[in-house]
Amino acid sequence: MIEIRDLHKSFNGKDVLKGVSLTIEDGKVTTIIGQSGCGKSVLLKHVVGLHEPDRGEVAVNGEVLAHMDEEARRRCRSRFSYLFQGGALFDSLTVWENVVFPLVWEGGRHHHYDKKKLQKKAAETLELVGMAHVESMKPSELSGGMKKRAALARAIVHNPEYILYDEPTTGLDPVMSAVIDDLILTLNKELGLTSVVVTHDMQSVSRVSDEVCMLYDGQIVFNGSVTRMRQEKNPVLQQFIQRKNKGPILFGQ
Amino acid sequence: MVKKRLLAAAENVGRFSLFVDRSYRSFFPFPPFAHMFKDLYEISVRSMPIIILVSAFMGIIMSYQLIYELRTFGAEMYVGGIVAVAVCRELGPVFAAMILAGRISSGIAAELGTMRISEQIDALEVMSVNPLNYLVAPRLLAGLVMIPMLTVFADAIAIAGSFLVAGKILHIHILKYIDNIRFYLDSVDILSGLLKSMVFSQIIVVVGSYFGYFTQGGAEGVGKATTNAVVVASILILVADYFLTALFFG
Repeated sequence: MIEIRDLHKSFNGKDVLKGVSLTIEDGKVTTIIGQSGCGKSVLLKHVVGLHEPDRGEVAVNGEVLAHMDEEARRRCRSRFSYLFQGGALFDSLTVWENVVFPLVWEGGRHHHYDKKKLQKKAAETLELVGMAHVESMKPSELSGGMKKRAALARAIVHNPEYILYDEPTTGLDPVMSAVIDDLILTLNKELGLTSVVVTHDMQSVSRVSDEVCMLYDGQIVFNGSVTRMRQEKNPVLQQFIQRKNKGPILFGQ
Repeated sequence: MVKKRLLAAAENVGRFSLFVDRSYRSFFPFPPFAHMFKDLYEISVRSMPIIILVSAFMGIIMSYQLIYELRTFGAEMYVGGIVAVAVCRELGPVFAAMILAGRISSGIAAELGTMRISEQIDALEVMSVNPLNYLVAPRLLAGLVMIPMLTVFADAIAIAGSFLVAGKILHIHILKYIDNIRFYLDSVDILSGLLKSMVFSQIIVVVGSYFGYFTQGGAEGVGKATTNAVVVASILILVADYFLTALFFG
């Protein structure tokens, strides 16, 4: 279970998170929705310690991230995977080297494995995300959707407990978005992974979410199931999910 | 405004010092040699053509100038010794370092900057890999090994270039030229040059890495990081050269 307690963060004097509290239950898919630039990715990065909070804390299974020493933090991070918005594949490595990277550098140390076994493992994992015969290509030779799927293969190769997805379907065509949605659901249902998805793709939200929470003006304004989200009277939430240009959310805010 | 700039400068110096400290502490676990190979190749073989070109011209031009001036005193036969001492003590290490600051510092800043803005450095951290151990430590080691070697090479090329001119104008035999060099050139001249190039190698790598690592603001940020890396590395090389020269010959 991930607990986010009273999280505050500002950048260059601009408050991005103003006291966010949220509990992410194990084995569920929790989606965080909100406008572009409202701090969704910042919140997600706090969960893995890529940002240090100005105030508040993040705890994973009761252990506060900020209180951990380097070794404990490393152990904690090895239970996580993070799918970055642009994939964040390493340009200098081939696709298969990227996919097995978490295994080769497990625990932050380089391990020597048999190259053929690693290539086989990469090919199997890539097949899980619907990619074949791309192992020896460089990331620059892949399309946007392929990069995201290869990054997803890298995210699942070491069997993490938690996967954090930062806008997994942004920039993808509807079919590819559906493929990614299915993968999120498969990983959640079959492997029991806890998933946190940051997105503003409402079709994807309806399809994959067990819990939805909305971030607005640095705070959580809604937290509940998809059914409750549709029934909720909150005008901010309704404007967002019904895709209206008039309402409390102002253009450019 | 002045106070704000001073504070920003102090913050940069502090952040740079911490970065240097963390980079050297990140050496262990030692990066695998295969991982270093690309950096060794990039710093040495790929830099060789420009080093050869600049060093050869440096030796040729110095020789022309010195012969012209020394003729006034009838001392043109000493050109070999003067060139060798100047090149080994000063010009070889500094010229090589300046060229490599332009080539290596900028390359490292651009690569790490692009990795920063495309979240590849964040990805390393999420996977519990120390980005400094993975990205900076191998380059620091590769620089420490290869840049002094390139400097020795640059010294030799410059002296050979100088002989081409001196041999043609003064009709000196190569053995006499070498003898003249051996008479004036001390081992301390070569060693001080090598030690200088070791310090310069670390400046070249660490400055490029620093600006790349803290890149902000997309493609424009990468451009700024690259420019800043070359400018700051060049300045630090000259400042370090002053202190090292004062240490060895002061």
